[in-house]
Parts: sequence; structure tokens; C-alpha cells
Amino acid sequence: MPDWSRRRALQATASAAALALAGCSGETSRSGSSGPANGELVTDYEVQKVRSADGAVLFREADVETASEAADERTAERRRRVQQYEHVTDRRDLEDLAFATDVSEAATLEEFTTATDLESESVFLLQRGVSACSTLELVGVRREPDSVHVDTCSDLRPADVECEADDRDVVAFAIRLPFPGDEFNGMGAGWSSSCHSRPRAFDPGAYNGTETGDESGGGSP
Amino acid sequence: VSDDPLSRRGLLAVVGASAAGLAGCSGLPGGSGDDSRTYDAGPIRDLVQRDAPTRPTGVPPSVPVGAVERHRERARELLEAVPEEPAIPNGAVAERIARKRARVAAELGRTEEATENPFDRLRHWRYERSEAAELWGQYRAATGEASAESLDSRRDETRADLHGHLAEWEYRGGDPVTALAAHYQIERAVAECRRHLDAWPGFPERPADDVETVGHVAADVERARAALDDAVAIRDGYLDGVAEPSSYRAAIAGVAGALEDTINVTESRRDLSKYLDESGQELWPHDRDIENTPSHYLYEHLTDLARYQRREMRTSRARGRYATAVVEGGLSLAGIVALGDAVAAIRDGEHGQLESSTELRPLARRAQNALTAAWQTDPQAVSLHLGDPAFYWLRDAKRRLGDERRESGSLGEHETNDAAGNLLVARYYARAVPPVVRYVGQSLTAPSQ
Repeated sequence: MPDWSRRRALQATASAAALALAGCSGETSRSGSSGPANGELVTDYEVQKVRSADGAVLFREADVETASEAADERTAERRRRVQQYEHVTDRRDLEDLAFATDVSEAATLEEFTTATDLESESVFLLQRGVSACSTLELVGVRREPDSVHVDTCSDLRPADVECEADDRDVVAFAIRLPFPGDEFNGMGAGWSSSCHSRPRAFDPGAYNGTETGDESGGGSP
Repeated sequence: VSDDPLSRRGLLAVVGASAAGLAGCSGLPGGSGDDSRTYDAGPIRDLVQRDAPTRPTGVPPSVPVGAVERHRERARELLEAVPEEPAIPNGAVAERIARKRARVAAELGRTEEATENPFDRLRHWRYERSEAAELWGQYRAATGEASAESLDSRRDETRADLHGHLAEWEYRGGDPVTALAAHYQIERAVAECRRHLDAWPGFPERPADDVETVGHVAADVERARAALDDAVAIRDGYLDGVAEPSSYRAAIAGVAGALEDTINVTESRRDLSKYLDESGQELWPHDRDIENTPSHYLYEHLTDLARYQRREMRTSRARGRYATAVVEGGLSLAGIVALGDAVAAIRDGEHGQLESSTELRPLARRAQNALTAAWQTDPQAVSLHLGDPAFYWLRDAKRRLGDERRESGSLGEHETNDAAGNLLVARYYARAVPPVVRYVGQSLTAPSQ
């Protein structure tokens, strides 16, 4: 089992539902392709993806010092929980996180996260357990006025990858977003059991060339 | 049919809740939910076990000799090329392929229902053959043996053969009615072939990365080939028995056009257009509340059928599938006639909630009698197709009642009314079939009149 860096020992007032920031947060899952997503599509992000073959939890909420037995149980349960996501918008958020200290993939995530300029950017961290024979792909990031949502999907890995279907890996993404997110009060993560046949909304920006010579910026002629 | 009291509307009007104590009703509406009433399953015990009407056999065209067996053989061949426990590095892919193999093998060993439409059975085996091809394609992709070239070349060959078939297609036959029935089946197989000839999705650059897509491509190529082979075999089998075949293209296309006009005028003259609005809403535009009654299902099923087949007929006609347009037009017209009768009966207060499950028995008997009469109407080459919806409604009603009874020993309110609605729609629809069959038959033999 990995050791953990204790960034900060919060006082016992912290909520057990640590993933829920003020406002809304939640995870959705779908099987098959989904309908069009809401929100503004974010495309200019950087992403660091890691995959841990031994199923180790790579990051989690930092432990809270408590005196109660029930709280200890909650802490133990939280430590075991693979499925995690967090929107890191300031130093406090970062200090509330613990990365596994003896796992190279966790170090990669931590390094990417701490290297982010939280004055002008933010980082969405997402971690899921998947079958050793499956992928976890980042589908897209959507931004709404007060929240950010990340969609992922899974598929089978190539047939010639040696793996046992019952083994579990952990896949995590650190997504550096080009906005600070201080004003956000919600987040979400969606997952689809298939990456196949997933129609995407047409994004004219992806096909805008400069060859038209039209630089008027729109409007009536 | 002498025991069918449809003409005596009003006689069977629902008499109210006080009649709930009739034999067979074990409960009263409790008001605690939508499904508060239950019905005793006893009175319908032998109803669900009784055989459905037997589809007449020996009416041309026939399913080509050996066609089903060819599909099964090919499916077996593809299945046997895949080991039961495939040695594939990715364990999840191996498990998926093994599961699919087991399903295909089980289907190949399944005993079939004898009452199925033989051409539906043929189509079912084309599907199973394509399932086996999908399995084979996935396995070949996973083991590095799949090749885009061999599938492309097979698809190209089928496409060329299809064009050859279409170039000489003249709706030939010995008489216009049998030609209609034969070319209807040929058109359906050709349409299926076309649907599966699209080179989409594309073959993946590295097959091992996407075994599912390779499977889809292999299945499509196989299905297109199977459908075209059946189309050619149906044509050859039919024409082999015809001494001097003539072309009936003009006759069949003419009847398709006439049927579309007839449907439009019938809707209008019988004041039925408001029930057949293309927006797809099954609104009941009258005061009587028919929610949770057999009338609701009767009305909904008939509007669905009439509207859907009318739309299909227009599409088929526009695409030059004239035999299909005639059959779909006949289905729609029978649905429209039945809808007119059903709406009048519902407005007269008939077909309210059942008071006792004993009422299901006469409903089933009348539906069966009406279907038998429909199927016996000449020309049978037409009545066999037009009677099919009634057969499936009747069968579904019996299955529904059988499933429900097995589980609980009693019948729920929703299922009972739904089943009663199915029996009613089978009867109303089947009663409308004979005149439409005669009209289509006479139009085909004298299309200019």
C-alpha cells in the first residue's frame, strides 16, 4: 500500500462528503452514447494521463484529525475509494489533497498539478478504477457559468494487450484548465461505458481556416 | 362471421361498477394506484394454451428450397472457425467472443416455432448468419488475421451482382397477384442487401484495436450477400414454375398509385384525418375517457398501424419499390377501415374496462375467427400478408396473459386491459382485411378500371 503525504491536517469540522463543494457536484454514468452535452466546450486545456497497473489509489482527500471512531471509519473508507475527482482552484484545495508518495504515477500527477499557476489556471483531477482490459478516455470538458464538468468513456483495450478481465487498474487525469475557477461552486464527472458511436456536436471553430480571407469579424456586409 | 356482434353497437355497453361481482372478478377498484384491480386467471387457463390460428401454407411464392439450411450451414461454418475458448491476450475480449459464440451456437440449436411467417423465418436466419459473421470477424481481428481487402472485395462483388439483378428486374411472373407477392419478398431482400452494403463504419487501421468494428463490417458484408442470394433464389424459384412469364411492373406500380389515392380519399370521406395526424400524437379527440380501458389500446394500435404503413407506403413508392408499396398500402387501408369502425364503437360506449376475465374468452374467439376468415379470403397471396398484424396481436395477447398468469396466478388490471385491447384490435383489423384483399386483387387484374 502506498504511503501518503499529509499536506494538511484539517480540523474535525470538515464534512465527510468531502468531494461535494458548496453548490452542486455529482457523477453521472451512461451506457452507450449520450445526447448533446450542455455548457461551453473547453478545448484549450493541457492534460496529463496516468495508469497504475497495481490498482493503487493515486490521490485522495487529505486525512482529517478526529477523535471519534465513526470519523476514523469514514477516513478509512475514503482512503480506499478509487473514484475521486476534484477541481483545484487555489492553494487551499491543493493542501486538502494527498498524493500517494511511493507511486510514480501519483508523483507525475502531483508534479503536473503543483506546476500549475493557480492565479490564472485551475486543475481538474479525476481518478477511476477500470478493468485491466479496458481504457478510460477523456471525452471532453464543459464549462458552465459556475461549474465545470468532465466526461470520460471506456472501451476495450486492443485485443493483443495481455490482461485479465477481473484485474483492476487505476486511471487518472490531471487537466489544466485555462481559467482560475475561483467563482465556481460546482463540478461534475460523467462516464460512458462505450466510446463507440458517440456523435459529437459540430464545432465550426475546429474547421476554421484562414484561407477564406474574411477577417471582418462577422456582422452585416 | 356469425358470432361477431360488432354490428350491434351499444348492446355490450359497460354497465358500471355494480357488475364487478360477476364470476371471474376477484377484486374491486381500490383507488390506491393505477393497477388496483386484479382478475382471476382461472377462466382463461385454457385460452392461453389453445393454439393460435394456423397460417395457411402452400400459397405461392415459397421460400426457396434449401435457403434456410444454406444460412444455417454458413453460420455453422463461421461458428466453427472460432474456438470455444479463444486464446486472445486481452481477457475481456476473449470473454466477450466466447459469450457471443455460445449465444450463436445456442441459436443454431434452437427449435423454431412452426407458426412463423416462412419469409420472416428466412430473414431471421440471414440475421443469425450475420451474427456468426460478426463473431468470426471479431475473432479474426483479435488474432491478427482480419483483412480489409478481403471484406472490401466481397462487398464489391455483392454490389456488382446487385446491379446485375436490378438491371434485369421486370416484375415478371405468371399472373399479377402471385407476381406481387413474389416481388414483394424480392424487394424486401434487395432493400436489406442495400442497407448492409454501406461501407460504414470504416475498417479500422489496426484491427486488434477495434475488434467490434471489424465484427460489424464482417456482419454487414455477410448480411448483404445473404439477402441478395435470397432475392435471386426467390425470383428463380418463382419463375422456374412459370411457362411464359410477363412483366407486371406497370400493373403493380399502377395499383400502388391507386392505393395511395384511395387511402387519401378514404381518410377524408370517412372523416378520419384527425386521428391520423403525422405528428404522431395518439390523442383521443372525444369526450369519453378511455384511459386504462381496452378502447385505449384498440385506438392506439390502429392509429399507429394506419399511420406507419401509410408513411412507409409513400416512401416505398417514391423509391420505386412498387410491390412493397402495394402491400403497405393494403395494410394501411385495412387499418384505416378498422379505425373507422373502432372509433364509432368506442364513441358508442363499447369496450370499456372488463368486469371479469371471462370476457377475454369471447374476445379471443372472435379475433381468431376474424383472422381465419381474413386468411381464407382470395387471393390468398395478398391476404396472407395483410392478415399478419392480426396474427401478431393475437399471439402477443396470449403471451401476455400466459406470462402474467404464470407469475402471479391472477391478472393485473393494466395487462388485462392491454391484452383485451390486443384481442380487439386483432378482430377489428382482421374484419377489415377481406374487402381490402379483394380490392387489391381486382385492381391488380384490372388495373385500368
